[in-house]
Formats: sequence, C-alpha cells, structure tokens
Amino acid sequence: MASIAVDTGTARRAARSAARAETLAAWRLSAPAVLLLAVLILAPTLTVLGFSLTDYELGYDGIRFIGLDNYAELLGDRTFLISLKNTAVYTAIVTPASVLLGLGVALLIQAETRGRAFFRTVYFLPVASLLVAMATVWQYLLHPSIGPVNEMLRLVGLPGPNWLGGSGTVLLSLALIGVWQSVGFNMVLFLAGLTAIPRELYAAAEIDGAASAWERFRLVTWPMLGPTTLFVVTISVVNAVKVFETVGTLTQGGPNKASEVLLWTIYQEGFVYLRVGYASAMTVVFLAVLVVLMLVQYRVLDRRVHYT
Amino acid sequence: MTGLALRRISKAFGSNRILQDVTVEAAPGEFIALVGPSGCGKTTLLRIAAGLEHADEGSVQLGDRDITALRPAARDIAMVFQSYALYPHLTAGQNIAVPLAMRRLSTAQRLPWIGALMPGQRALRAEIQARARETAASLKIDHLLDRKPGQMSGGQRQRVALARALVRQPAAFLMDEPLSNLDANLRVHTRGEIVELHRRAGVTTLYVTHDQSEALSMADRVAVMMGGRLLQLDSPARVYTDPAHVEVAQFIGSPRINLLPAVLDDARAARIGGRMLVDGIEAAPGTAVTLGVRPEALRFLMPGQPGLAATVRRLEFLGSELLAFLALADGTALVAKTAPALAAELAPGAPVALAVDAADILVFGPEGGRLPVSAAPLRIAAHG
Repeated sequence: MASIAVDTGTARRAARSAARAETLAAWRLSAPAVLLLAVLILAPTLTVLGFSLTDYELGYDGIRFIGLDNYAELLGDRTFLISLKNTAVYTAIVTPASVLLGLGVALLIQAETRGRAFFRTVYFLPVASLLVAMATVWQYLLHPSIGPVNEMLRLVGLPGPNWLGGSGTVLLSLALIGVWQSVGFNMVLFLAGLTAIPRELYAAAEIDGAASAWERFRLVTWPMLGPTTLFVVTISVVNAVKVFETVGTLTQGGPNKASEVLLWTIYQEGFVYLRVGYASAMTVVFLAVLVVLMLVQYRVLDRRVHYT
Repeated sequence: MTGLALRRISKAFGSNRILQDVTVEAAPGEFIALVGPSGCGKTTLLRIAAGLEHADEGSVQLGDRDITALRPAARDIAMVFQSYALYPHLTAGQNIAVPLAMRRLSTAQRLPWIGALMPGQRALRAEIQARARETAASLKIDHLLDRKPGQMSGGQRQRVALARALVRQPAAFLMDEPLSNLDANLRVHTRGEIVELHRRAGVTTLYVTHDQSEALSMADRVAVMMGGRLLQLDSPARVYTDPAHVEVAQFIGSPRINLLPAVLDDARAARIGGRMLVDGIEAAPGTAVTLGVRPEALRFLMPGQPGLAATVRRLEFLGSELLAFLALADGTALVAKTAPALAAELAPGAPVALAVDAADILVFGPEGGRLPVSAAPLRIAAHG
C-alpha cells in the first residue's frame, strides 16, 4: 500500500506555488490602477510638495532647496492670512446654508407628488449652468445703481449697499451666489437619500405616537439621512473651500482684499507672479486643510451615521 | 361589547377596487387571522384598522370608541410590520421604548441636551426604561437591549418588533405577516409563542397572513379574503370542513382540495365517471356543479371492489402520511392523502378503485357558493 501513501512534500510545494501564482496575478490585475493612481494623483501631489520646499519661479533659471522658508513666509504673509480667514468665513456661511436649504427643498419636493421632475430640474439648473457665464447676470442683479436688487430696496425706502464693491458686503454677496449654486446639487443628493428610507418606518413612527411631521422627521428622516448628510456636508465644504470662479470674474479679490480667498491667492502667486515654489506651499496648506476636514468628518462622524 | 370592528369597509385606489364592503368584527380578546392570496386586500384592511390608510366608506370601532377619523397615533393600537420597521439608529432597548417615550414625554422633554434639563423627565425616563426592560425580559431578549437592529438576527429583530408593540399594552394588536421573513423552523416555533403571548395578554388581535396553515393554527376565527371581498369569517374548523365558497375550499387546506366538475341529473344527483357520488343536491336538474373532496376523504378500496377507477401517477412520502397523485379515466387529476403503509400497493401506474363518503363531499354551485344537500346522504356513495 506504500504506493498510495500521501506525499506531503509535493502537496506543500503545490500549495506554495499556487499561492505565489495568486500573488502574481493580484499584482498583474491591480497594476493598471496602481500605475494610474501613482501617475495621476500621487506624483502631482508629491511634485507640489517638492516645489513648496524650493524657491522655484517659472521662467527663471535655477532652483534652490530652501527648506521650510516658504512656509515661514506664509505665516507672516498678510494677504495669505486674510485669504485664509475669508475662505473660512465664506465656507462657514455657504456650507450650513446650502445644506439646510438643500434639505428643505428636497423635503418639499418629496412631499409633493405633482411637478416633482419640474422642480427638481429648476433647482438643479444653477448646478448645470456655467458659473462664469452666470456671474455676469449676478453682476447685473447686484449692480449698485442699475441692479434690480437695489432697485427693489429703494422701493421700500432702504439704501442699497454696493454689494460686490463694498468690503463689508462682498464676501456675503459671493456666499449668496455660492449658496444659489450649490443648493440644487445638495437637493438632488438629499432626494436620493430620502427615497432610500423605507416607507414602513414612517408608518411605524405614526403608530408609535409620532403624530406631527416634525416628530417623524426627528425620529426617522434625520437619523436615516445621516450618511447622506455627512456626504453632502463633506462635498459642500470642499466646494466652498475651492471657491474661485465668482471671485475671479466678479471681484478679483477686491475691494481691498475683502474677497481674497485661498484659490485666488494661489492663482495670483503661481500664474501672475509666477512664484511656483511659494504657490506650491500655499497649495500644500490648502490640501492639508481639506485632508484634516475629511479626516475629522469621517473619523468622528462616520461611526455615528452608519448603523450596521 | 366589541374589541375591534371594521364595518362595511370599501376602498379604491383610482379605478382599482381594493376592498368591497368588508365587515370584520372581533370580540374583545379575540384573535382573528385575515388570510388570502397576495393582492386580496388583507393588508389594506389592516392598514385601515391602523389608520395608515383611510377607507372610502365604512367605519372602524375600537372598544366603545369610533376611531374612523383618528390618526394612528391617537388610536390605541400597536402594529408589527412584515419588515419589522425597527429604527436602525436606535438600540433594541430604545426601539422598544419609543412608543412610551412618544406618549409620556413632552416634545421638550424629548429634545437632546435640553430635554435633560426639563423637570420630571428623569423619573419618567427611568419608568420607561424599566417598562421596556420588563417587556424585553418577557420575550427573553433582555440580553439584546444594547444592540442595534443591524447586529441582530431576523428572529431577534422580530422579537424586538413584538416587544415594541407590546410595551404600551394597547387595546388592539395588528400584525402584518410578522413571520414571513423567518426560516421555516423558527416560523413554526414563533407561531406558538405569539399564540401564547396573545393568551397571556388577552389583547384583541388582527393577524394578516397569506399562509393558510398559520391562520388555521393560530386564530380563534379566520377571515378568508379574495379579490377585495370577505368570503367567510368562521372558526378554523368551520372554514376547513364547511367552506362557504369554492375559493375558500381551494385556498384553505394543503394539499389542495380536489375539485370535480359535474352536471346534476334529473334526480338532482351528481355522477363522476358514471358513478353517483352524491344526491339530494338542492339545485335544478342540469345545473353545472363542482364537487369538492378533501384529499384525506378519498379512500382506497380493495382490488376488485367497485369504485371510482383511477391510475396512480406519483407518490410523495411525507413521513406520517403519503400523498398519492392520481388520474381519473378522463384525465382529471386527484390527490389522496393516506397512510404510508399503503405505499407498497400504490406503485406508479397501478390501477386503483376509490371511494368517498357522500357526507365528505362539498357541493358548489355555478357561482362558487355552497349548495345544500338535503336528502339523507347514502353512507357509501361510490356504488353503481
């Protein structure tokens, strides 16, 4: 019977070579994705990180490693600090306003059966439209002397401010346009989240004694929308921090740097003054801000909105 | 005194008539099963009882109160949903406590942060917690109170849903196919538990199911619904042995009742395969009738004895019993339920002779309603 004794050595060798083949296949299959990830995302980011440690200026010969000098300069750069503050203020207005309005509009559309597609399209229009083109409309609307907004204010006897021209109002006006643009997008995301809520939960809530719409919202809608809300807030923060088009077309950071925002400052340094190294340092700070925000949102909140 | 009464309920969605003049009255503490195929309107009727839908016509009464116009929250009822409808963000304990918290705590007291500052809420909350724990313990799920629905099995979720319905001690229980998402073993087990629970609590219960065996085994009375109408509301035994309509006879009982078409002769007797099965049927000669014979009413005769001639097609051995699938000479299919000991004699292809007591034959008229059989039935009808 020795002829059919199990040869353990052979079996182990076969298992090892099968494992090796599997590892190889895994690498072969993921290679395209890994390569593209490296070339398209990691390489540019690392390049920016590298530039930020140099005094590189576009068009000039010579590139010198200067360590953290760019970052040290940033700390004392009044323009950069103002733009950091302005971006924070802008985000603090646009994010909550566009999230809450988006949720409100989504709830209204969800509650109404007629004209759902119509309202959804109307609210989504600003998202689909070109902001640069629409900016001219806003410029007209908010014009201090011929703009309809101030025209109406004059009708009720109020002095209309110079919306985009006054340093006190410019950031608020830009935030208004930002909200106008992103409400529709948030609404579509919330609508998708609302349709995913099982109807039986509302029936159960009614029977359990949640008699008013507000109580059912508290008991069912709000918690069930948790993952959607987290996503919408994330997207809204990222979009608000990236504000650029309205600033570029309407105010160019003015008046008196009152609408100076991060991306505009980076653009000025990198493309107008061609200080690539310095602009890269700003970009790194910009990315760091976004990464920190993402981490906070996902680490802290994710566990509280997913229930399984 | 009524427990829960739904009277003359009609409901249509657009031109689709879901319920037509349905009346179901449950005595206090009674367990009524609404049973029927999907789309028969049983769930809509239950939702009308709950107040989640409103009937176009008819009234709903709970105890002495007319609750037709009341919102679900204002009716003193609890419901168990097919999907259980547990709040996924709340733990089992919190889920069970919701009906109490919603009713006993004020809106302000329920607010997060601020609620904790409201006077009296601490004692109330402790009381609610205690009541929830007590209910959970009675269903043996007190060890699951801190888990969320996503971390529980289907059976555990089902118990939490039951506990949430029980916790408030409502005047009526509504259950919408609460067992249909459980596996077969658990279903039979939980069936017994719900009946036990009902006996202890003594709460009027409407129980929707599409499973006739569930309805027969659990309910005090069974309401059989078809196409938006209530065909029969009777005790399980009556619904089975004395169905009012051919569709009831077909729906109740497994395997299905055998239905044999026949035409009454001049003596108002019905013949199948040339043999008179039953006479004294109270309908005009020439009426087309349907004879219903339960599978267990068919008996096999000794070879050579005169009887209804049939051929064995196939056998199904079920342990305690044997199903024989037969065909009459004209090809009509029949099922007979018999003792497994007969398996040896009933080889597929074998010719057999059948007999049935006339008293076991249910006669249905052309519209499907039962026809009375008057004359003293012949004891053994399957003779020449």
